[in-house]
Amino acid sequence: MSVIQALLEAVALLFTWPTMGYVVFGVLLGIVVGALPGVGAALGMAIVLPLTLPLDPINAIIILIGMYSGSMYGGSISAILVNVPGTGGAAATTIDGYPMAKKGEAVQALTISATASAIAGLFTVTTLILFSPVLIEIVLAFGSPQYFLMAILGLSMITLVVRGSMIKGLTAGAFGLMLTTVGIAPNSPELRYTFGNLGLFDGIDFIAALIGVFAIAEMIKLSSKEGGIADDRFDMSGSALSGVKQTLNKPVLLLKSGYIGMLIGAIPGAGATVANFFAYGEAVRSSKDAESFGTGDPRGVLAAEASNNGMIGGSLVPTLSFGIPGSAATAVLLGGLLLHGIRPGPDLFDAELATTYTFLLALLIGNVVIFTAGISMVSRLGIVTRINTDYIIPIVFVLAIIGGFTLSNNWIDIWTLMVLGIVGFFMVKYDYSIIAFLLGVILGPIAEENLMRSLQISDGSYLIFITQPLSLALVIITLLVVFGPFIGPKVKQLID
Amino acid sequence: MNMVNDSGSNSRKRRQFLKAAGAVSAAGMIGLAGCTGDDGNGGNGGNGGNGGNGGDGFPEDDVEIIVPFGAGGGTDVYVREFAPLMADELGVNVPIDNVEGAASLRGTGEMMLSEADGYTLGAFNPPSTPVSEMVNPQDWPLEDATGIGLYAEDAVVLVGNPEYDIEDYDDLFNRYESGDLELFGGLERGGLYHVMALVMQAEHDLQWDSYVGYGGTAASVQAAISGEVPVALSTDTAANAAVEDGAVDLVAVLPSGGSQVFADTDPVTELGYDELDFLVSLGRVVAGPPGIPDEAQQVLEDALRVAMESDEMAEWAEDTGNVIMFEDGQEVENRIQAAYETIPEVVDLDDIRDASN
Amino acid sequence: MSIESVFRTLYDRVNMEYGLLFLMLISASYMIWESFNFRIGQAATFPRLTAGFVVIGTILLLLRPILPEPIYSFVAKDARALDVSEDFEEQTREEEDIEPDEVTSLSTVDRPLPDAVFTTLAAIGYVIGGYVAGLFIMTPIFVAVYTSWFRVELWVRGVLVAISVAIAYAFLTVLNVSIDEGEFLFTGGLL
Repeated sequence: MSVIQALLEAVALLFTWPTMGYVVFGVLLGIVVGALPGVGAALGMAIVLPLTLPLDPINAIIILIGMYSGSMYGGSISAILVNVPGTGGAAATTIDGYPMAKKGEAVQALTISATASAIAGLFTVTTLILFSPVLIEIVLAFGSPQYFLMAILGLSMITLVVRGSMIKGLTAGAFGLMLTTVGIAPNSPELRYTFGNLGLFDGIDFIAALIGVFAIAEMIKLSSKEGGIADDRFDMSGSALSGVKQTLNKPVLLLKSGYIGMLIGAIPGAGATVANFFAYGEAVRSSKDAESFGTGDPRGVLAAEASNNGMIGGSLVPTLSFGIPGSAATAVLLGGLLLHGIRPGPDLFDAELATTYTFLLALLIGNVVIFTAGISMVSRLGIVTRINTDYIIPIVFVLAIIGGFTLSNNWIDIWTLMVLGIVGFFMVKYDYSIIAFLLGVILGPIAEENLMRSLQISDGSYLIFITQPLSLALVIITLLVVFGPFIGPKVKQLID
Repeated sequence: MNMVNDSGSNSRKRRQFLKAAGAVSAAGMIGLAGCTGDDGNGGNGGNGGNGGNGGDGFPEDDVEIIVPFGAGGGTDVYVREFAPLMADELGVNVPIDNVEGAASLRGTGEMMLSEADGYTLGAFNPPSTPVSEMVNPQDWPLEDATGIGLYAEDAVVLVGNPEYDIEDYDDLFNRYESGDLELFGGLERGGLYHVMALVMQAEHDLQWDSYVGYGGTAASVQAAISGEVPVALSTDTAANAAVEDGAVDLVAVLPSGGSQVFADTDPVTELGYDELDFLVSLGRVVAGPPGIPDEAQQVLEDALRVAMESDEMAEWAEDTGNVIMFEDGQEVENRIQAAYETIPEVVDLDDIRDASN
Repeated sequence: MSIESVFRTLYDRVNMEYGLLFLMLISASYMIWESFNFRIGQAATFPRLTAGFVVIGTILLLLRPILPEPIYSFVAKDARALDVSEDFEEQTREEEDIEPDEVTSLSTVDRPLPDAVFTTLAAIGYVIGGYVAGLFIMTPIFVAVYTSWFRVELWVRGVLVAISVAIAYAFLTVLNVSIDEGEFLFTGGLL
């Protein structure tokens, strides 16, 4: 089947009633579940999955994909308004989104998020429609050694995002890494620090850690503040329109972040949170005034939100082509495909190309829905930052704690959330980088598992990390990230 | 405690309502069935059944099925499909509770430690869950679980990277023996697939050098596609797409009964290798804690049988390519016990716990 | 001496940063020690590496005040700021940051506990109560107690309690999360 023919067929399939209605419904539902901490894309989709049984397969999958896409944007809403990342993919959004809200720029932040999400989504999905076969090759170029090196590259970003004492930042990062060693060891049946408790077998849930250090820590801090979250000294400045303008004024950052997201999404096992932090780290690295990040810099929100929606299209490639789900949400999507008798396989990029295009086009339309809903409805939620914090705090606690329990019906998650909430409160207070800590928590398991596996494959030789061109490239990029700031100026001096 | 009693009486009221609803709609059941939502938590009149087992007998309350895996996963998809059909048959709700984690030991443990009254069941997968329990012994006797029924079966297969051009299991055997190949891929160390690999090494004399574990069947297949390992273990369903496309070669089908997905390929037992069905044939079962009264067990087994043999399930299996079947509770208990008796005989579990190769 | 002034004294005397560092140091030391009990040597590599890093980092930070000059600068200051004047700025900024703040501030609602302390305790109480009797029943109680403490208008209290119950009920029914079951009370579920 030719590409054009498939595309036309997909258009004919999609632009019918009620199919279009399902796109809108899926995206809106996704925005809601994404904004609820602990629920997120995967669980929301799993709940809806059996309800899609009466629908025909295309419509059912369109709802699920719409939810997936909507939830990535939805996650940013609670991240910006109350410092609670609704999904892991919005973790980096909180870093600048919430400070913007505190400065009275919540409406702007929400608009930037919607615009960046939608535009990055549009570009990456269009790219996928044109180049998905190439991306399949990229997926396959990544093996265990490359996953490990990606994790190390991510960890090296700690040096970019830390302000003040580097030792404090590195210690916070190592502390995060250390906590991930709780639970059954990757690639061996060794139980580490579980005290015989089954709830600890799988270690610390990183979403619980996210909710703890962002939401709980911030609520504790906020409880002594009078008035709303937004500082009274600032007017509710910034309109929806200015948010759109700000986003459009940074096309390079926007597209770069979106494509970073897409590439990371295509690598199974990394997912939205990693994409989010990578794009954020790159935004900080490439800026001339890195200090303004973390204090409510719109570029932080833009990069983070462009990346997580860019990630979606990328993550569909391994899911649809090989049935390899790269994340919890795509695992549920895979369940949905199987439930409805759509067999993932390279056929979906060949004989069944029209089906795949229908999904991708649904994503495109979904991005329009995100933009429209974001500008017209969600941005009004900026008012939340004016509500007295005494009203907001108890409700955020209820959402965070019940949401934390929802993660996997495990009380360990709630204890994690509370303990790390209190620890996080003091970390923020004494300038121990929360971002470094979270990078450790998120990348620790990926790093350890793939390190161990790589060494098994190479029979213990570390050469496995530099013998392939892709590995070597990752090593060099990592070295540049870490030492670039020291070496760069010297090199410049030499040239001059 | 009052509250608990209240809850009981609520459930009874709900059941009476459901029975009434069932009586009214019984005639229309066939037409309606398959359209019922199954969020499993009541509030959905469509779950009403025909209350076929009326009277004072079992069940008088909701029958919960604990799924020790995440929502939307392989086991969950099956259970969400048949639970409403069981509910129709039992005349009560059959809610699903996902209690994931610890290689299915958390959810299975919760089921094993619940009261043996037939109101709490679990859906797990022997011999996978028993192996996890043998490697990390728990204080509940999984080998004594009350079997309700087996509803599906997956065959374990070996897939190979096409560049290695491995013809079949004999060829693989020779390539390991000659030292041409060294690595062998599968799922996490200390789990069922690692045990399989060790048993194949011991019983089939398959001389792989180093076992490489991955996070799931899909990741294992991907490792074979990319050539990170020459061959990898997987289930037949998980390997299907990649084999069809030629991204991997099907090297061997391990259970003596063959695979429904790869019906054309002879199992390795045909090549003269010892049968290892207790390990390589993965059952998906429903079971309860030890000591469920026979009556209740019978009612539940019948409900699952009716559900699995219904037209709706057949249609679903047809549409989706999922394999369904039914074997009774005795068979479930036999399989669990076989795992507990045979596995420690053929592998040293202490070796697994200390495994370094 | 009121409870509040006890807190204030405690807070002034005990720098909580040391608390944080000791917590990290002790947990890291425990993890290293425990890793020698692992049966599989491989599984101990990563914990020792990361915990070892934490131990070194925390010890350096704990000994900050008595470190000799070159090491002091390395530990306490922005490693990237090569310019001396910037260093100085950074340092003064940091010192300003360590002003007593939230925790020592008076209770904004004229209660005997500082706000942040009460909020923390209330949240811990909510979680423990939820563990014992289920989060569902504890949710309205937590919201009621919290809003009463902060002297929220009565009608707003009512609205917030209603919202919290609605949230909890939605999780319970739509998402089928068993938050109506406690570990000790209502173990069979409240609803």
